[in-house]
Amino acid sequence: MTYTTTIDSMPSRHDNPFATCWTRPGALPFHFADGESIEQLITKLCGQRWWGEITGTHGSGKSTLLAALIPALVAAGWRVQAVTLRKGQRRLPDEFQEQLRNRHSGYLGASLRLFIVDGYEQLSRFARWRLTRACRRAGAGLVVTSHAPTGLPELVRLAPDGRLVQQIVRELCAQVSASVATADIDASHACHGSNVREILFDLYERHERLRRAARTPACAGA
Amino acid sequence: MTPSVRLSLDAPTAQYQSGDRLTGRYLIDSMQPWTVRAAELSVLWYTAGAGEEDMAVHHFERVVDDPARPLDLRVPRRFATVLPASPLSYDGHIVKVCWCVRLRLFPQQGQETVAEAAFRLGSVSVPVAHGQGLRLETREPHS
Repeated sequence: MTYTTTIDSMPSRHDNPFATCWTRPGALPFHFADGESIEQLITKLCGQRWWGEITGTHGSGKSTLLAALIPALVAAGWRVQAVTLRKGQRRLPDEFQEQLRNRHSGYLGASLRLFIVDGYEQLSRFARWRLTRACRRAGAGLVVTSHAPTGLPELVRLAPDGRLVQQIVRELCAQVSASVATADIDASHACHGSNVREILFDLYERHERLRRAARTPACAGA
Repeated sequence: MTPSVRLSLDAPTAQYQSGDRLTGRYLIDSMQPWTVRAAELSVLWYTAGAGEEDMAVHHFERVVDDPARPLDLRVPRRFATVLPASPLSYDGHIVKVCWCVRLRLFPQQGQETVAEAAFRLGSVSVPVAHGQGLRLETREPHS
């Protein structure tokens, strides 16, 4: 898609390269480690009978990876049912559970059916057991994300390093102009570790402060 | 090659108040005809910032290529709408309310092209850094 903009001093998403619209999963492409790709990930998933878990700390890119993985799975012929669980959500949504219960009517039993649960660790042990049993019985695939291993076959473990963070920031600043010093990125990375989401939030704050400070002299005389 | 798209508002300042009539035009800059299946123009607002996003379309119009009425976007097309009472443009630290006219062109072949023209609705005070604290800057409504 080609994109052109006419921007003046109007409030705009182009004011800050670290705004959610640029950094949310899907908008920000997933950056694979050297030599890895979505195809390799799908091959590995196939080798694990379409079961796997993506582990990583908060903000390490699990949801971003899912945003890249889901279209690839759909393109490969899978019918994907995905759910994102919020903090403290101990059970699957009713609609999702209904689909699990309906396995005998052919919903789950259909071929090439794959379930994705983002935030699997939020579920109670019983909810996890029900989910894995239903998927196993129906021969459906299951991909989950979690902050720590939960016993499912590991698909990938995410731990973004400083080099990756630098690359992501460079790409964001290339599409929406901003000046960010390497030292600022390093400082934020040292503070937040692998939590890229928090690092980008830090940089958002910093950019907003600078942008407003730059406006102050003109306003002071107004 | 995709020709350039010109989307412009008639008001040179691009500042409007609620109830104002927003007008403008769009065209493509090309000597050769560029076959477009459809063109969609929206006047919309969206939020941008550090949190969740929201948006709504205030005005929408779509023109399609038709054998009886071929769509030639080299000829300027005008648009107009009366702006609503809210939400007003706002340039906040955490959230911004942004208004724009967005034009989407769907060519017969190739990728969709999008052009935007931002404008300001209202004159909401903008918090700006001033020393250690913040002060409010009020924008004057345009005449």
